[in-house]
Formats: sequence, structure tokens, C-alpha cells
Amino acid sequence: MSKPAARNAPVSELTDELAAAVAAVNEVILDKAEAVDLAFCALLAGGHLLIEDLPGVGKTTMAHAMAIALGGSWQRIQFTSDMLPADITGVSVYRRDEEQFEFHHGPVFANVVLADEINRATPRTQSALLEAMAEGQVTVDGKTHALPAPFFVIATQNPTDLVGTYPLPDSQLDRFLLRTRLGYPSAEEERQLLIQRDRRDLLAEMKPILDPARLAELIAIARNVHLSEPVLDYIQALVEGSRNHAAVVNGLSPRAALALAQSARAHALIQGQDFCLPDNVRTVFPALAGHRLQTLPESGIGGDAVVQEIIDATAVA
Amino acid sequence: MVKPVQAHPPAEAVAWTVLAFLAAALPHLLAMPGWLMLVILVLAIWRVGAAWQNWQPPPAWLRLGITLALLGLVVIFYGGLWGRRAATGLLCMMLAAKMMEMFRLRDLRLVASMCFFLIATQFLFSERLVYLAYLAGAFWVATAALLLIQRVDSAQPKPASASWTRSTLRPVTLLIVAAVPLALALFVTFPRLAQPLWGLPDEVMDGRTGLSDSMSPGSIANLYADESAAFRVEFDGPMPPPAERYWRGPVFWNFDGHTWSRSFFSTSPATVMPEAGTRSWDYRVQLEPHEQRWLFSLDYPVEYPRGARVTADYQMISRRAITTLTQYEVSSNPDFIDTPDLPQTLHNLATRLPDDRNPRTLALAAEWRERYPDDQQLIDAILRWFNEEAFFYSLETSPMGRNSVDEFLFDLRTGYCEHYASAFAVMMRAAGVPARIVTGYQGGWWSTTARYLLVRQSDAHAWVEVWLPEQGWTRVDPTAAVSPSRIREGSRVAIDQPRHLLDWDWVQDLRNRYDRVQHLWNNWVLGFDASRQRQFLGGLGLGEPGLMMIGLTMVLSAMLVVGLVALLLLRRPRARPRSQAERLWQQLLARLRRRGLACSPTETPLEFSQRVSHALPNQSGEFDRLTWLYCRLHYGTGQHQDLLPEFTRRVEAFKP
Repeated sequence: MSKPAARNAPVSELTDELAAAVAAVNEVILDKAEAVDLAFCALLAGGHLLIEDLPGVGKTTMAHAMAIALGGSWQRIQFTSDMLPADITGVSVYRRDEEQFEFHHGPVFANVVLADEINRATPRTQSALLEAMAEGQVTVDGKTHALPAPFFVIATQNPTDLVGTYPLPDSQLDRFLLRTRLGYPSAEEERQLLIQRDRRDLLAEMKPILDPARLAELIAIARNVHLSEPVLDYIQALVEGSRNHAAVVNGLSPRAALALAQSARAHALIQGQDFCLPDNVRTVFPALAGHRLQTLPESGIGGDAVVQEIIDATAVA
Repeated sequence: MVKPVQAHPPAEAVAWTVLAFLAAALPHLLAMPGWLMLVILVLAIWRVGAAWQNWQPPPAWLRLGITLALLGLVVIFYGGLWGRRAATGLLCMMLAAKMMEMFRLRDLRLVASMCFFLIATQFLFSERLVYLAYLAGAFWVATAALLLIQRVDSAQPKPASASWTRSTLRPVTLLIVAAVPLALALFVTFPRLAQPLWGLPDEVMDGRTGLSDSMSPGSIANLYADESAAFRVEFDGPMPPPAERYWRGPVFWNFDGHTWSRSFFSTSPATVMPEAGTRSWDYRVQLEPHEQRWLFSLDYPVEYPRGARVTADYQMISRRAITTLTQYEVSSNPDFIDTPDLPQTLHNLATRLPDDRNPRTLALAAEWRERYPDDQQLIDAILRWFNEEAFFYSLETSPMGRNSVDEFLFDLRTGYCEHYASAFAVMMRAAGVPARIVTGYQGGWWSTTARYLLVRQSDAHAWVEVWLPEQGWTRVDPTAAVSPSRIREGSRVAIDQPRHLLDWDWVQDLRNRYDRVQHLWNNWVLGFDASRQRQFLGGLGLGEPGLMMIGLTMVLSAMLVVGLVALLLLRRPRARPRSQAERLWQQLLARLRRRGLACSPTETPLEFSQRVSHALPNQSGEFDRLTWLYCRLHYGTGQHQDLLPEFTRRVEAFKP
């Protein structure tokens, strides 16, 4: 989305670095600027991201690129059905020479965690990750271990292959701030992908642009992006629209409204604005509401279509 | 190539359409032979069941066969296809047949649209207010069905919401209310013709109660329980006292011993017309349809409406049967002397009696004639006899046989007004005094607030006129001798027996109140004819408008009303601008709207700006800057307010 009018008032030099980080990720993941924006959006709003897409469209590459650009640690967990919670959180091992237990950190202890095919694991294992996401800490054998800050989970789900999976229930889906899709690249970009060097080489050459401290600062700035009255009206109108829509079982919760405001702020910050535009709200709304709105089965309409109907029916203040 | 599967319309749409059809047809169904009604109901229920169970339509040959069979049924039950009942019955039947092939939205829409026509046909049978309330409900259902079909159609292929009904019902009332102003404007201004292009057929179909063209014992007593209005009268100037409120209807000359009937003389026109005298009653009658041709008036009509004539026995006859509510003005002279000289032929006609009937009455009359040679004395004697002997005014009579008058006078001595009138007339004729029976109405209920006299069917009455030398035909009411309160206060007071189960005073009061509303309705809606329209439009300062002028008024006022309603409905729901920047932005949008670039309420400024850039490439840079400024002023933090002067300047300079 080109926004010539909006992208020219830097809030601070940090936003320049943020823009550089976004650009760096976009260099590796071609033609997915919007998905990358949303991923950073979830990060800056202090939430987590769920990507629903087929294997091979670049989910892992994107997570890896983000981890490098953010300058933090990164881990990948491939979920399988025989996984146990300890495989995620880590285990306490008895050290005979020191005569005490020592905690071995699991893969969840990283700034960016890619949880691949999260729906392959059993609900028990899933909930270990979801709890870590919600609390920002892990408790093993009565001892609480803080996760590194910032802590950002990108989970992926394969929507087509449902045999032997445990799809996340609606209440768990709510733990993810945004849900997005990557989709196929355009023909031109795919040609670029074929011509250019291996993505792994590109990743190996990537340099960190931010570090955890500056990222935390950016998250704080994102919280303070200005939300004017008209934009608040628009957010409320959208939430109200979801509650009044005939095909929706339950409208968006106040928590979702709060999340919408926070995501819109983060999106504005990524665009380099110190205030929020209705366009920011509108861009994040489908990713925010699509997985939260459950539709009546007899309506024959999905969450994404409902979201579009709500947007089309809501006046911009 | 696979043939695409025909998607059935949603069951809800079918159910609403069938409901609309049944609601519109219900008044017709109730008047139909039971078999036809059953067939229609079965077809309607089958269609609803088919919608739910996803049954397929019957094959074409079966549909054709059933349709032809239905046509046959209509012809058999109504004896043809002509007349109101047969035609509307056929319409109902064919719509019911349509149920069998109502499997596309197109068919649903056709049926729902026809419902409006079906509703309108009900006015061929009755224009009463109570029907209107029902038909308004049916109209609502038909509108809802039509709207629902439209919604289903425009949302193809994917429905927008779970329940069509839920999202459709709310706008229906709004839709109807929005149409009311136009309907009113058209009602007032649609050119009316002084003579209608077509009239209702002169057929008696509904068995409407009312007076008939003969009178036998019991025929008027039957009307006692009927409280429906016969006519309403508004007086200009004084009103006759209750004892003189005799509303003249059919006059009977011929008596066969049981039944009184009309004579050829009743149809010949009057040779001597009454002239205005010292006293006169001027009044306007609003006559409910009774399917006969007679009109009612007080004795004796001097001025009467065009399209009516006065017979030799001074009853008013209309040229056409009264099949719709009819208004006419009459001026009566009560002091006119009717036929001071009776020709011998008429004298004979008015004294003729069957020889072999009622022998005891004939004997009694002959005996009294000898005792009282003077006509007036004889009349007084008979009336005194009615008054003093044990004669009762009551509805409780037994069926009378060949000698009805004998049975009444000597055995039963209990009867309603037609028994007394008939017995009195027979006695007068037996005594050689010319006598005839007049039927009509007597009395009426005066509404002091609405200032009109309501005459009900239960006020039906029969009295006698005897011919006396010099005085001509003179009214004698034997009922008054038996039950004076009948004349003074009406039949309900005179007979202390309830007319029906719910004949309480407060019910009566409610009926009277309702009649006032009906009267207003009659006056302002049903009675709004060509002359009223001219009067009304004239009152608006249009002078004496011609047909052309009225037509023009209609077109203009319809356009005006549609315009106003459209303005009201399409008014942008946008809130009032909150800031100077928003006001300026809206000025800008208005300017672009005039250039054909309208900003939709769901469009953000940036999106609109992109559209403008495409449409007006020359202005694109300037408009981008304007949008940039507006976004900062409108959505930004307070510190951007210093941009307002620049924004104001640029908005004023911007010429799309």
C-alpha cells in the first residue's frame, strides 16, 4: 500500500531503524510487504502472530529474517503429535557433582520462536506454549523462569491437512493478536526468487538492525501513538458492527477492541506516523477479527467475508 | 457439458410468499364454496412442505392437468367465468395453481406482486373500515414477501446473513410509511371522472340484508338484529322531530293474503311534483350499498339528485343499483298533499283484496264500517282497539299460514311492525278505504358530536298510508298505537329483549363511536369524488380546476412528494462537523461530488485521495497535499493545529 502522504514525519531515529528492519525482512521475503507489516505490527503491539498457510510459502524464512533483524535469539519448534510440554519449556536435570537440579532451557527461551504446525501437537503441549505466550514466563517443577524480553511467537497452522491434527479452539485462537496468510508470490516476484541467490545465503548475510533494548523502547513508543476521537469512533463502530452482524455468533470482546486499538497504533508506527489513521485500523482489522469471529454455520459465510462486510458497512468518521 | 443445477429459493422466501397469498386471498376464501377453498389450501400447504423437504416440482403434464381441472371447478361452482365472485375465484385458483411451478425467484416475485392486485379486488365487495384494517395487514405481508425476495435475489449467490426474515422485517414498515405521502398525494390529485368509466355490475351476490321488494310477516323483524348502518344523514338547518323521521322506501300495493308486493304503478313516474312549501327539510344522505335501486328520503322529495327519479307513489329510485357508498342531497316538503283526487282505477287497486283469504278480518271490518261510516272515525277506532286490547309488540311470532291477518288479529295478537301494518291495511281495504303499505326506516341515532343521524338496518319499519278525500294519502302508523316508544325511541327500547348475545349498552356505545370513525372515512375517503376534489383543489387557490389542471397538479405534487421523501431518506447520516478542518474538508468533498467524484462514507481520506489522483491527474499533487494536511489536522495530535491556515488557504484555492 503506497501512502505518500503519511510516511514522512519520523517520530524519532528509532522509527528509521524500524523501517530499515522492515525493509531488510522484505528483501528476503519477496512481495509480502503487507504480511511483514502485520508481523511487525503484532510484535510491536506486544502480541503474537499466527500464520495460516501451506508449507513452502516462506513462513520459516520470514520468522528467521525477523529474528535476525531484531538482533535477538531465535528458535524453531517443529510440533509433532508425540511432543510433550517439557520438549518446549525444558527440563530440570539432577547434577550429581553439584548435588542439585539444573534447569535445561527448552526451545521456548528465545526472543523469536517459530512454532511450526502448532496444530499437530496435542492440546496439552499446545497449552504449554500458549501459557508461555500469555504469561511471559515458564514454571517447571515449581520454579518460575522468565522468558527473554521481548518474546514473540510466530505460530503456523496448515489449514488444509486436517488428518491427525488438533486445531486450536476459538478460545486459544484469541491468544494470537493477529492471524495472517502469506499466499503465493506474483509471477514476477517468483521469477526473482528463482534468479536470486539462495534464501539461506541471504539470511546468513543479514545483519542485526535492532536489539532487544531498542525493540522494547519501540514497543513503548507504539503504546503512545495518538488515537484521535474520529479514529476511536471508527474502532468502536467496527466492533459494534461485529456485534450486530446477523451471521456472527458472538461479536468482538472488549479485549479484542483493545487489541484492535493497539495493533492500529503499531501499524501507524511502522508507517512512520505518530498518530493513527482510519487506514491503519482498516488494514489490521481483518487480521485481528478474522479468527475471532465465529459465524453461524447456516449462514454459509466465513469469518473473512463477514469482516469484509463489516468494513464495507462501517462509515469512517 | 453438465446442466447447472437449479438452486431452489430459500424456504423462508417461499413461506413468506405463500403466507402473503393466503393473507390476500383469505376474504375471498371465506366466501368460496368449501371445496375450492380446500383445494387452494392444499396447494399452498404442499408448496410450503416442498420448500422444507426439497421436493421437486410436479411434471409439466400433471401441472397442466391440475390447472385445467381447477379451471373446470371454477366454471362448475360459479356457473361460468363472469361476475365479481367468479373472476376473483378464478384469480385465486390460478395463483394456487402457480404454487406448483413456483420454483424460481421470478415466480415468487410474480405471485407476491399479484397479491397486491388480489388485495385490491376485495374492495369490489366491501369498502368498510374493518376490512381496510385487515387488508392493510395483508398488504404489509405482501410487501415483506416482495422485499425478502428482492434481498435473496440481490445477494446471490451467497446469503449475507443467517436469517432472511430477521434482516428484512424491519425495513418493511419504513418502506410502507415512506410510500404513504405519495399515495396521499395521488389520492387527492388523481383526476376523478364525474361519471366512472366502469361501474360495478348490478348483481345481487352477497345476500346483503336490507329491505326487499316485497313484505311478508317476519321480513322486517329479521332485520331487528342487524345493527349495520343503512345510511347516514346530515341536516342543513332544522331536523324533523323523532316522530316524523319516516324514511320512505318501497311502497306496496298488491296483497295476496300473505305477502305485499309492488305494483306496475310503483314504477311509473310522478305526474305532480311536490313544490317547496313553508316547511322544508334539507339533508344529505350517505347510503350504504344495498344492491337495490331505491333511495330513501323523507316525505316528500322536492329536490332530488340527478340520476334519480320519483315514482308516482313518491319513492326515489336510482338509475343504477346502489353497489357502492352513494351520497345524495334531498330537500323535502312535509306538507305536500299527495293525490287529492284518486282516479277510480287506483282506487280499485288500493282496495283490492283476495276474496278467499282472512274471512274473519273481512267480517270484522264490514261490521265496523257500519258502526263508523266516517273514514277518520274508523281509523281512530281501529287504532284505539290496537291500543286498548291485549296486542303486543314483539319479535316472538309464529309462522303464519294462508290467513295470516286472521291468525294475527284473533289468535296471536303479538307481532312486529309489518304485522300491524299489514293487518291495518287489510282492514282498511275491507272497509273500502284505499290503503297501501310503505316500508323504509323510522328514527335513527343522532350523534351530537359528529352531528349526523345514523339509521341502522334495525330501524327498518313498515307503516300504512290511507287515502282520504281532500287530504290525499295520509300516513297512519298502527305500530305507534301499540308501542309509542318504538316511534319515539327506536326499536331497541321498544323491545326489551336483547338483539343478540352481546347487546349491552356499552357495546352499543362502542358501536356508535366506531360509526363516527366510519362516517369520517366515508366522508373523506370513499366520498372523495370528482366534485369534492374540485372543491378541495379549489380551496387551495386553484380556482375551478379543469381536468388538465388536476392532472398537472397530480404530476407536480407527486414529484414534490417523492423528492421530499427521497431527500429525507437519502440524507447523509454523517454527523455534524466537529472541527473547522472537518467543515472545510466537507466543503471540498461537496465540490468534488459536483464533479462526479463522491466520497463514500466508508472510504477513508487516503483511499479517496488515491481515487481523485486517478480521476484528476493534474490536481493529484495538490489533493495529496490537502489530504496530508487534513489527516494531520483531523486525526493527528493537537500540535498539528498550526497547519490550519495553510489548509484553509489551499481548500479555498482548490478548484476541481
